[in-house]
Amino acid sequence: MENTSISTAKQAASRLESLVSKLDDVGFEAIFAFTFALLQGKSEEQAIAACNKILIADGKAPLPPLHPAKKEIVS
Amino acid sequence: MNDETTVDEFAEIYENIHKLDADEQGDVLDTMRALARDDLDGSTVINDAIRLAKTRRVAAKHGIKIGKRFNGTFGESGFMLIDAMNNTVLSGAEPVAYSLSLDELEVEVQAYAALLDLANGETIVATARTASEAPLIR
Repeated sequence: MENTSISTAKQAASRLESLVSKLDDVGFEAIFAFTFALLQGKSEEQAIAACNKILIADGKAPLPPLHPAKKEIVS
Repeated sequence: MNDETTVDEFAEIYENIHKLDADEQGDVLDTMRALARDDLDGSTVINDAIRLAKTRRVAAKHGIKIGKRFNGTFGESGFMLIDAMNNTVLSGAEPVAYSLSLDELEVEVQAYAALLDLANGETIVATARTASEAPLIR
């Protein structure tokens, strides 16, 4: 039985993979920022913002904004 | 491993993320890739990643580098031991490159580490400066 945090990390990785074509394109640091924000109990919007902060600093394209219907899939 | 421990472990990685070398960065990325797979158990992925990180630390202390061919999960990946000083393969090149499993990798690293520790303390093997030379005096 997976504990909650691992389950959250797993959901985060899957969610992020659905937002980008390849996880490699985003980079490990941005992926981790996204996952860690969710592990800290932040919302998906906040997690995307944390991820975008790193992506923009690296000169990469930010993640697409959340579709209203898809908000808060990972809680 | 309880829930809090896992969050703490993630927090520790996040705090030190800028200190990770290229191999460790690759491991973090591969961990997230494996976590994204629906068919894998998250606890197993995290446990394997922790085992690999610990093995890397032991290897690095002895000048050994771990080469990895990621096959979707650490449990299914292949590894090689490389002498960082001479850039020569110590183990895992036969029958094909990256042929060590994670279990075998741990055993090999422990064996080389013990051998090198022993070599450092013995006059008779004082000329063995690297892991690649150590098997010759075994």
